Amino acid sequence: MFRITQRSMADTTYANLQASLSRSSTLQEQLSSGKQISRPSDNPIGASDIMQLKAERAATAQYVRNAENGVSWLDTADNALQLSSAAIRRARDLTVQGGNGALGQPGRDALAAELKGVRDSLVELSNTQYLGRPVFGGTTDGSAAFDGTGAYVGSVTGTVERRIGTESVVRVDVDGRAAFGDGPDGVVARIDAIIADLATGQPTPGRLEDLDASLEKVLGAVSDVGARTNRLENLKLKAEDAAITLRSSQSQIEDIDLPKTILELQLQTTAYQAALGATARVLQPTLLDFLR
Amino acid sequence: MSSFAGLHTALSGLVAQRYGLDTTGANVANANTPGYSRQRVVMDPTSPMSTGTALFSRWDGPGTGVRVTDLQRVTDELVATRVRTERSTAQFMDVERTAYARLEVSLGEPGDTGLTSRLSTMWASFQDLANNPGSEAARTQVLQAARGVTDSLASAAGGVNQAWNDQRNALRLAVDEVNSTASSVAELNASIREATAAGNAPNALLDQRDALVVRLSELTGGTVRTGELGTVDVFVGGTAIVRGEKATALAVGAGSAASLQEVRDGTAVTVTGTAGAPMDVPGGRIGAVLVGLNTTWPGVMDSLDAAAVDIATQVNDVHTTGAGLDGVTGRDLFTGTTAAGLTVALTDTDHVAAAQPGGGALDATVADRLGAIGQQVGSPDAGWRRFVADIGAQTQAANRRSTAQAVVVGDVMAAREAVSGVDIDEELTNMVMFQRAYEGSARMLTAVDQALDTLINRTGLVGR
Repeated sequence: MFRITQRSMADTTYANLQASLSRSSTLQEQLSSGKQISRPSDNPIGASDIMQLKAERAATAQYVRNAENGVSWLDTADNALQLSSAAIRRARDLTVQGGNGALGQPGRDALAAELKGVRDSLVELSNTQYLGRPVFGGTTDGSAAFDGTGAYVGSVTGTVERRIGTESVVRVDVDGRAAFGDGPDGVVARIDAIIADLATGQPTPGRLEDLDASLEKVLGAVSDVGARTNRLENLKLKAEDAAITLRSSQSQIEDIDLPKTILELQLQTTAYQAALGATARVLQPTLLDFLR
Repeated sequence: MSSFAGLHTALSGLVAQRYGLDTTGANVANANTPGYSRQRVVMDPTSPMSTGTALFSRWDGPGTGVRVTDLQRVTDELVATRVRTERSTAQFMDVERTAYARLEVSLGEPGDTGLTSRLSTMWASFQDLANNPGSEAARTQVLQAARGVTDSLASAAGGVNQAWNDQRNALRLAVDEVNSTASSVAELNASIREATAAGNAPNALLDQRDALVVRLSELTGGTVRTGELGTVDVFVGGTAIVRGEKATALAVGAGSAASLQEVRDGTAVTVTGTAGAPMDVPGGRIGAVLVGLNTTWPGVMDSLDAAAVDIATQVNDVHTTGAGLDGVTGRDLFTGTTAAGLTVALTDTDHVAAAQPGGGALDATVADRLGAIGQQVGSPDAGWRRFVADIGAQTQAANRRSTAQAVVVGDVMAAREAVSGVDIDEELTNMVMFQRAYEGSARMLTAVDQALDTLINRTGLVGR
């Protein structure tokens, strides 16, 4: 028979109290931190998952930032292209007026002066900047995509892109040469030619067709920018959705189930109280109480 | 038989019962003394027959009384052995558990201070650079984020080095404690041998000695062999550290490594015994500390260094293909091959490479590729996660082992208590027994006295 002494009872009770208190402490820690995994040993696989989810969340947040930046680039380009198309239409109107045989030279001079204004605004529009960088100049580090004569001075290689996912990259700049043309084929040079024509008489036939071709180019660029903005917005939405999903996945692994934890703590507290009650009775009566 | 024999018989009873009462007193007094073993009086009836040859006497009476032949110390050598073994194992696991707990906390995962967060910040900073390759702010941010990564690794490595140094000091203290404990055991052995040879029961000395031997086992995982006349020898890994009255002083090996790096360079930390001969310490605190110093911590440091190399290689491989704002390619972003020594090689923000050569001045292809490393298969992040999960699993296992062992220790201590512990009820019962027997012997004395009084004072007085 296992011999029981007062001391062994006290030892056992104390050990049980300690175990109970330790469980309470774990639950208290979880409840106060709101997390069931606060160190890797709490759940090694869960901890690894949390780390991965955190890294993915950081990456996704960055994708959203990249997308916002990209949308700003494209919006800037879109705005400039819309204004450019209006300017070219105005230039076309002026050119048509210039072809009116009833118009005298003073009238043509006035038209030429207005065309000059349109031309200058087109130069300015084709050099539109976002945060100091010309949006039609590719990867150039200069401040302009075109010089004053409409010649392309931007970067001839490289494109500006934004990463919106591990596999998704969207181009956010617009090739100035494709939108506005370069050198003699450029919209600025073409308007210059019309201005030169107007100094001596009516515009040479074919100028209007040239302007129409330039307008087509700008409008083509507008629709291209629109399509890319669309794609970027979609990817951004996807990234934002992913951010929410990742957050809730992390929460499921990392955060405590509040009602469950509170309930467990309650049960544990009850068990602890019972253990305390038992401890109070460890100081049982001994034979001493019955000996005179 | 002598007429006075009854008096002697009663007296022997008085003496023996009083001895029993004294013993009960000692037991009750020590009911809560750790390491105390209860004592039991062994009484034998005395016989008038001398052990020598008695030619002319013959006795067939009830005996001449009682004699205390032994003061027995109630112990069980098997239980004592289990106590030593299990407590030694418990100490081993406790050291292991503490070390892992410390390591795990120093990694700072999965919180916001760990390497994972720092790496994420760095990858994000590369993408911000890709968004704005000409920006001084974005470039500064990249260098800061890269320094965040090296700081994080350096602090983890520093934590490991610190832990190693602490354990190294703990080893020295533990060896000192072994030496002082072993010499106490040897001294007690000497006293016990003397007392036992003189026929005494040196129970208190034995209790003291056994408690010290348990401590020796806790420290070294040593085993015990009982010698002659109550002495014990203590062996650690086959070498005696206590043999009878002689103790062998242990020392931390003369050529032992003084830093974690020296262990990794091939010098182990050792413990030596007599004349500097290396000793195998299989268990206990010292055994666990030696495993930590020579295996666990260096292994962890290897993993940290591997993580540092992985980060540096993957980033540099991409970074060297890119050109800085000055158009120069081939620069490393990180230098160093250890977690402690990893540093950011660049100081000039213009040297951060974002552009692919030939891609235009503000090309950001390389910055984008750098930013994408973190989400690729085989990224340094993934390697680090595996390492952390591995440490977590080992910490968890160490915790479980330690907790389970604590239960085992509780069991063997209960078993020891069951054999050697003092039960107050039992002692009180004995007290009543001895008290009554004492009263009985005293009454016996009175009865014999009365009988003699009758014989001496009242006999032969007829008619007087």
